Amino acid sequence: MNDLVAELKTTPAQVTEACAQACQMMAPTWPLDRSIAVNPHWQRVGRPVLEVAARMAVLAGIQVLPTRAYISEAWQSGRISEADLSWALQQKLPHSASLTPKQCIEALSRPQTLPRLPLLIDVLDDDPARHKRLSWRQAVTHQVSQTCAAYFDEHQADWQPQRDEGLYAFWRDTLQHDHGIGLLMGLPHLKQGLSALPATREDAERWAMQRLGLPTEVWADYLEAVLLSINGWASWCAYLGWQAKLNGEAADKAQAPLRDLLAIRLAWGALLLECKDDKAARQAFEAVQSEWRQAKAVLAHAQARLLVDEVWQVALEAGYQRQLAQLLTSQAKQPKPATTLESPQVQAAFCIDVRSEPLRRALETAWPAVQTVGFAGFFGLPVAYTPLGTTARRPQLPGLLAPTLDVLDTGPDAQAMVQARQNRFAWSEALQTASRWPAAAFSFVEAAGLGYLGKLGRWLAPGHNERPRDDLAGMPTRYRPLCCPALTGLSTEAKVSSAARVLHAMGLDHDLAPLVLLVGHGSHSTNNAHAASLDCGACGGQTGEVNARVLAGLLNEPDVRAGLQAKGLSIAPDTVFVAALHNTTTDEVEVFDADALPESAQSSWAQLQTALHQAGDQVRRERAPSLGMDAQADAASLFKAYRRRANDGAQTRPEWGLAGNAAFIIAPRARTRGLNLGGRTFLHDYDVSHDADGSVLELLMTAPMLVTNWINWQYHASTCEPARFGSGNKVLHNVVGGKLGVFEGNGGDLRIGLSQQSVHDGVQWMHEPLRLTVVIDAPRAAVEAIVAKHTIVRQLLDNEWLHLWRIDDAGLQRRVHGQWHGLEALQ
Amino acid sequence: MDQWAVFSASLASNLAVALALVAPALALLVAAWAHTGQVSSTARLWRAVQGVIWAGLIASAGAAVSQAISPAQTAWGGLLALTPLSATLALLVQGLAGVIASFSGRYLQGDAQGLAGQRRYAAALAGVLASVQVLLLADHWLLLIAAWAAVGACLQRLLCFYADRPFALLAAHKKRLADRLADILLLGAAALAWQEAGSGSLSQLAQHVAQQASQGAVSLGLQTSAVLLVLAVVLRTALLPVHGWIIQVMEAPTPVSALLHAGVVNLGGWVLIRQSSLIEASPVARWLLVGMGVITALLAGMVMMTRISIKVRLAWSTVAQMGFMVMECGLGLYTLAALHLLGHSLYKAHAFLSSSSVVQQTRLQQLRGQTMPATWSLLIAPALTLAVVASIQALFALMSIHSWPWWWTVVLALAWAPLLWAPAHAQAGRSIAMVLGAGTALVAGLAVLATLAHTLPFGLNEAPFGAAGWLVALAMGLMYAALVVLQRWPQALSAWRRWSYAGFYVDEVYTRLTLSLWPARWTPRKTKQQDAWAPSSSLMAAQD
Repeated sequence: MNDLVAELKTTPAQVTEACAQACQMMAPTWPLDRSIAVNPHWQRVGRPVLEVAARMAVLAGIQVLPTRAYISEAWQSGRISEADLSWALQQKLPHSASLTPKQCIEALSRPQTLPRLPLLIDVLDDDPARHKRLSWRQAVTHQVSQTCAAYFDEHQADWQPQRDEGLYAFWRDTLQHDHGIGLLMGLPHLKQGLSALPATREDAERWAMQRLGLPTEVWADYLEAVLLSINGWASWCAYLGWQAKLNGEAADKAQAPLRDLLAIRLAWGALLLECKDDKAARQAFEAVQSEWRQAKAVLAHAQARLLVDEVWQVALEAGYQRQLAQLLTSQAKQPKPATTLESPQVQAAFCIDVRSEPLRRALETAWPAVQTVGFAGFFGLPVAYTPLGTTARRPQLPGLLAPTLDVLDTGPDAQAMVQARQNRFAWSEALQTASRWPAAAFSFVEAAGLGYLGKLGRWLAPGHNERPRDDLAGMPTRYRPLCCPALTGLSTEAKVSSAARVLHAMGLDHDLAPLVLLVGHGSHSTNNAHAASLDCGACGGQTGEVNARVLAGLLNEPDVRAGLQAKGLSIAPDTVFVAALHNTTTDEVEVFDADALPESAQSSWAQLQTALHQAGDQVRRERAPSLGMDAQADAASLFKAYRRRANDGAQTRPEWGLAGNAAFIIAPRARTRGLNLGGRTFLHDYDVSHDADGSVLELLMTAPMLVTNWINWQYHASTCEPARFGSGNKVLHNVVGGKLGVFEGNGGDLRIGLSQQSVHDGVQWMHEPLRLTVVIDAPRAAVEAIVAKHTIVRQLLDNEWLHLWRIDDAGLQRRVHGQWHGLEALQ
Repeated sequence: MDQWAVFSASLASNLAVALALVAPALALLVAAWAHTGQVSSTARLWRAVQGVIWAGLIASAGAAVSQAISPAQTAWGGLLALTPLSATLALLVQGLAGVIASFSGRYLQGDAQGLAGQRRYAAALAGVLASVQVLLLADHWLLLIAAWAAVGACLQRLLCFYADRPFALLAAHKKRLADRLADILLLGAAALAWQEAGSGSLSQLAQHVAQQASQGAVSLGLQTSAVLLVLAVVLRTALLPVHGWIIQVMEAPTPVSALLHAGVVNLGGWVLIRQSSLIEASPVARWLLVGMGVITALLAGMVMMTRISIKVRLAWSTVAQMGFMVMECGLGLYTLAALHLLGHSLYKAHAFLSSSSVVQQTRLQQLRGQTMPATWSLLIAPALTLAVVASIQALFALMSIHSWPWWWTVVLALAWAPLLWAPAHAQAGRSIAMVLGAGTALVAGLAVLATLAHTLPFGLNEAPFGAAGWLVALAMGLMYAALVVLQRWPQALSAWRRWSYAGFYVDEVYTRLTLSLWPARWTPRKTKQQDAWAPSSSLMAAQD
C-alpha cells in the first residue's frame, strides 16, 4: 500500500481548502419549530441548473429535474403540448440542435439511468455474507446519525452526554467506547482499527485523503459526495453555521460542525479500509481511483444525457407561462380606471405568500372599495419576540437576516400577569415531571392512567376549536386579551424612522385609506410536527401575528405620527391601523386589538367584517375540491368542516401550504386585480413612480425574490427527489431532539424538506415542479442595474434558477442570457 | 351436532360469555370482509370497521354488566371464561381498537398503497382485535396459545405494512422468532400442567394447584410449567434481553405502534394474572418475574432517558413499564398490575398517537423554562413524599380501606420524589413554595387516586411477596440515587450513559444471533438500492 501513499504530495492546506469548499456546498435546514423553506441547491446556484443536475446525479444519485415518470404523465395527459415541446427545444438551442421532438418523446419511455461515482465505502462493502447484516452505508449512516442526534439534542433526552469538545471529538469518543457496531457490521476487528483514528478533525481529514489517493482536482467533488451521503445532518450543521455567521462569527468557526461531520464520514471510510486485508484494500483503491480519474468525462456524459430532461422541464414550464402571459397581457390592454381605485375606504396589506392571492381576490370582489397590498409578511420589522414572563426569545423575520429589534409583551399589570402565568407553569411542570422520570411514570400510570380515557376519546371526533395560541399558554383567560406585543428599548426617533422605512417600502407612504388592515398569516394544524412550515416563512416559520400587531401599534402611536408628520409623511388623524391574521388553513381572518377602534372607523369596520366573512367563504369553496371537501355545502357547515380538519390530529394534509407556487409578480395591484391567478403566485406591490432611486426595487430583487426562490425550489426538490430532499412518509415520522427534524421510522439520516403528504394527495402530485417566473413592472434599465450590482441575482438568472420577465403597458418581455425578448412566440 | 347443542345450551346459560363472544366474532367477520369482500372505497371500509368495533363495544359492555350480576362463569366445557378483569380488559381493548381504527382511517387517507393497502391494514387490525378478545376469554391452554399466536400473526401484517422497508422486515423477523420460541415454551408449560391437572382447563388447573398447595407441596411438574410460562411471557412482553423488535417497529404507521404498545405487548400481564395461582406455586417463577422485571424496569428506564427521538423514547418507556408490570405480578400485587395494564395502555396509546405534538410540547417547555433542582431538595424529597404517601395510606386505613404493603409505600415515595424537587434558583414569579406546593398536592392527589383505583372490584387475590418486595424497594432506591447523581454530578455517570445510549448492546447480539441462526431475506427485493453501485463505464457504454 505504501506505493499508493507515496504517489501523493498532499499539503494540509490543500486538504483544508477542499474540505471547506465541499462544506460550502451544503444548504441549511431550519429546526421544526422555526421551519422555513430552503432551496436545497442554494449553495450551488453559481452553476447552471443542468450542470448541478448532472453533478447531483453523478455524486449522489440525486434527481434534480422532474422525473421521466412525471413528465411522461404530463405529456400523455396533454398538460405538455407539442407546441410546448418545440418551444422548449428552441429555448435550449444550440445545445438541443441534435435533439428532435421524437427523440425527446422516446426518451420518456426509458428511465434515466446515470452513472454514479462510488465512495470508498461502496467498493469496500463487497463480502459475500453482506446480506446477513446491515449494509455498511446503512450502518455508518445510522451510527453517524445517532451520534449527531445525541450531540445536538437539547430537548428530548433527559440524560444528556458531556460534549465540551467538538462533534468530531464526541464521535471519536463514542466510537472508541462502542461495543456493538463492529458486531452489527460483521467487523469483529473494528476495535483494532480504531487505534488509528486521529485525535483531531484536521488530522482525520488529512489521514483519510492521503489514504484515498485521489487526484487533487476531484477532491472537492469527492468530499461533496461524502457529505451528500449524510445530507440531512450536513444540512443541520450548515444551519448552525448559517446562524453563527448571522451572529457575526468567523467563517471557519461557523463551519466547524459541518467540517467535523465531513471528517467523521471520511474517517469511517478509512477505518473500514483498516479492517480489510491488503489485497482487498488495494482493489478498493483501484476501483475508486479509476472511477474518479474519469470524473470529468462521467460528469460531461451525465450532463449530455440530462439535456433532454432539461428540455422537458422548460416544456412543462411553457404551459403555465403561456396562461400567465395571456392573463397578464389581457389585463395590460384593459383601460386603467376599471382596475384602479381612486380612494379606497380600506387598505389591507397581506403577505406575498401564494395563499394570500385567493383571499385578496375574494375580498376585493366582496367589497370593491377595498384595496389590497402585497408585502413580505414580517412587515419589514427585523424583530425577535419573547412571550411575557418567559425567556423563550425567537426570531420573527426571514432566515436571511439577523434580528435587530426586540419585542416584548406589554399589558396593564404585567407583574400580576407574569405571576399568574408562573403559578400555572408550576402546576404543569409538576405534571410533566410525573411522567418524565422512569420510576415516577411507572406509578403515575397506575394512579392517573385512567384519566387518559378522555384524552383518547378526543381522537375520535375533532372539535371546532379556534386556533390555539401557544404564546399565551399558561395565561389565565382574563389576561389573554390584555397581552399585546410591542417594540422595546427604542427611542421615538428610531421608531419614527422604522415606521417611515416600512411605510415607504410598502408603498403606503401616500394616499392612505382611513382604515388600514395589516394582515399577517398563520396556519392551524394539530399534532403536526411540520406545522411551522405552514406558517409565515418571512416571520421565520412563525405566524405573522406579532409583526402585524407591533407594526399596527407603532403606526397608531401619536408620538410616531407626529414624528412622521415632521418628516413630511402625513397620516390623517382619523386613519387607524389594525392588525389581523389570515388563518391559511380555515381562511378566517382573526383581528387583534380592535376594541380600540375609534367611532369614525366603526361603520367601515362593520362592512369590512362582512366582506371578510364572504371572502373567506369564497376561498373555502375554491379550495374545497383539492382537499376532498364538499364545495356545495352551506357556508356554516363548510366552515365547521375546515375547523374540524384543522383540529384533527390524524390529518396529514391540513392544507396544501404553498404547493403549486409558480410565479412572483412585483407590480402594482392594478396589473393583477380581478385576475384569477389560482393561488399560485406571490404578489408584491411595487410602484416604480414612487421609487426614484430604485432602492425599493433593489430590496425586492435581493430579499423577497430570494425567499420565493427558496420556497419554489423546496417544493421543486421535494417533488422531484422526495427521498433525499423530502422528508418522506408522514405516518412514519419520528421527531428527533424535540424539534431538530424527523427520522422516517427508526432512524437513518435526518430528513429534510417537505413530506410526501405535503405535495401528493395519494392520487396525484399537488405541486408542479416549475421554476419560478418572476414578473417585474419596472424599466429595463432599473432591473439591469440591479442584476449588474448583485452577483447572487445574476447567478440565479444566468444559471436558470428562475425566469425573469418584465411587464409594462406594451406587454411582456423575458430575459434570456442577458437579452430581453418579446413573449409573442410563447403566446 | 351434539357438541353444538351442548355449546349453545351452555352459552344460553352463560349469557355473559356469549355476549363477550360477540365482539371477536364481529371483528372476525369484518376482517374477512375487508380481506376478501366487495369493498368499494376506503371511506366505506373504515365506516364498516368502526361500526363493527363500536357494536362489539356495546356487547362487551353488556358482557361486563352480566358478569358483574352473575359472576364467575365458564362456558363450553371449560374452554371460555369471563372474570371481572377480563371483562374490563375486553372493554379497554375494544375501545382502544375503536380509537385506533378511527385515527387510522383518517391518517392513512391518500396513502400510496391505496385501497388494497388499507384493506390489508383494516383486516389485520380487526384480526388482532378478534384474537386479543379470544385470548382474554380463553380458559384453556390450547385456546390461549392459539389466540396469542394469532395476535402475533395478525400484528405481523401490520408491522410489515410497508413491505419495502428493510428495517420493518428485520424487526418483524426478530419478533417472529421470539413468538415461536414463546409458543414452544407455552406448549411445554401446557403439556406439563395438563398432565398434572388432568385437563387443559385453566380454571381446573388453578383448583388443582390450590389443592396441592393446601397440602403443603406443589409438584415439580407444575413448578416447571410455571417457569416455562414465565419465560414465554418474558419473550412476549419484550423484556430485556429480547426487547429489540419492539424498539424497531417505528417502521409501521403511528397507530400500529399505539396498538402494539397499548393493546398487545401488555397481554403478558393478563396471562400472568390469569395464571397467578400456578405462578405463586413456584418460588423460582416468582423470583424470575421479579428479577427480570426489576432489571428491565431499571435498565430500560435508564435507556429511555437517553433517547433522542420521541417514538424510540416511548418504546423504551414501554419496555421499562412492562418490566415494572411483570415485577408487580411476581410480587403478587395483582391489583396494581391490573391497574398498570389499564393505565399504561391508555397513557401509551395517547402518547403514540400524539407523538408528533412533541414539537409543540417542546415549545411549551421552553416557555416554562428548565430549572436545576437544588441539592438539598434532591436529598430530602423522598422523605417528604414518604410522609405524604404514608399519611394518605394511614388515613385510608382508618376508613378500613387497605391498599398495599408498606414496602410498596416506600417504592411510591421514591418514585414520586422528583415531584418535590425545588429549583436551585427560583424563576421570576415562581417561588420555591409554589413549586413544592404544587408538587405536594400532586403527590397527594396521585396517592389518593391510586388508593381509590385499588378498590376497583377486579376480584383478584393479592399474594404479597414480602422478601422480594423489600428488595424491589431497595432497587428503586438505587434508581433514585442514580437520578440524584445524574442531576448533580452527571459526569460521574458518563460511562454508564454511554452504555445506556447503546441499549447495553443487548440487541446487537440478539440481532446477529437471529440472523445467523435463522437467516431470512429481510432486504426487500424490489426497492431502489440507494447504495447499489456499478462501474460507470458499463452504464455509459450501455446507453450511448
